[in-house]
Amino acid sequence: MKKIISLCFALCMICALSVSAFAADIDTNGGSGSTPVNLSSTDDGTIGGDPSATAMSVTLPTALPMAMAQNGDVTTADNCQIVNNSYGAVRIASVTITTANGWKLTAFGDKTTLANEKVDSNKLGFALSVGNGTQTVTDNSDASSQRLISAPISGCYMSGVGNSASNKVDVEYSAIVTPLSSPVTEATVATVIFVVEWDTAA
Amino acid sequence: MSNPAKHTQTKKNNTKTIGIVILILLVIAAAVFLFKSCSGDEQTDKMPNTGIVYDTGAVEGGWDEADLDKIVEGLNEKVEEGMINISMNTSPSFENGTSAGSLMIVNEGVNRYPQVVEITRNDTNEVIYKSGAIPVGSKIESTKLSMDLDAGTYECTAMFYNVNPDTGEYLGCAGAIITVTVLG
Repeated sequence: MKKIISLCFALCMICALSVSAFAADIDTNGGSGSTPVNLSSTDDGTIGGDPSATAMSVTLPTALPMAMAQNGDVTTADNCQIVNNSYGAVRIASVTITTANGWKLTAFGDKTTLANEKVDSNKLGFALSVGNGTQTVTDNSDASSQRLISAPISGCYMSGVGNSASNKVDVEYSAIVTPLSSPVTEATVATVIFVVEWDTAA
Repeated sequence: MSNPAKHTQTKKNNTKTIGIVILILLVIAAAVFLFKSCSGDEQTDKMPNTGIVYDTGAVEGGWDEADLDKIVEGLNEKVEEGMINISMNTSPSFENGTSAGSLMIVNEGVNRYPQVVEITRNDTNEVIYKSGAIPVGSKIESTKLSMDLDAGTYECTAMFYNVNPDTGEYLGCAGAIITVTVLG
């Protein structure tokens, strides 16, 4: 019996000391105290884990294939998307097109604008729009590399993966190409590079 | 003794029979001619008239026009093959310029190709880190930078390259803006 009473006293003391350790001492009527709400972001989600930000995970295209018919019509894919699998929102920071294997960038427009070009002049006019936003096109400013998007614009924004309706954007593209005297198969004429970043509040 | 009247009659009958046979042959010949004219090879018939020798390999039609849906379907498959998932810690931190930091680069299992990741300072375009090929379903948790950076915060771009597992050729890439912090 004495042991049980002793145990009860011990528990009472522990509880009393614990309260004094965590609670604010309020000794006046209407007084207030503050309780900090602390957050630690860590790699494994534990309080003692290595500090870590939210992980970014985004799926992007690295190939934008085109097929040109004998009459010069260029057909492109229609399933190109960027999908944000991250918990946080992201946006497209930039899109750059760079030519390869001796090809040159030219102004995008109707294919008839290339009517005066020599055969095998290897020129490519390219247009791209993201998320049904503004179409950006190549021009005659630089034949080797051009920024199609240099800062996030309308259509470039994706929510976190929790909103399946807006965590992805469609990428539509089209091109005009100068005539060829010899056939080509899966020739790399340019590369398009998408760069993403967090869509921050700042 | 022969009967002259009977002989004359027989002769008439023979003449009549021969005439009928000739008529039938003429009708058959006409029928064959008409049949050939209607169903025969026109090119062959024209040969003697025009002097042109038509190529027997020539077939009716113009330039091939493939089904647009099939073309797009083929292109869509190429896009699918080239998709890349990029995944990493976007704010890796390093105790100092030579210590290891938590890059946490993950080549997710959904990817098709090994990845090489290259991190470049946006202010100087210097490459401060380049990985070897990271197999699909693997990660690089912690590693050192290839450049001894002073303490500070650096905005960088991490480029993720799809790599052909057989040839090592880079197949395509995509990037992410990250912030590298060196504490001391």
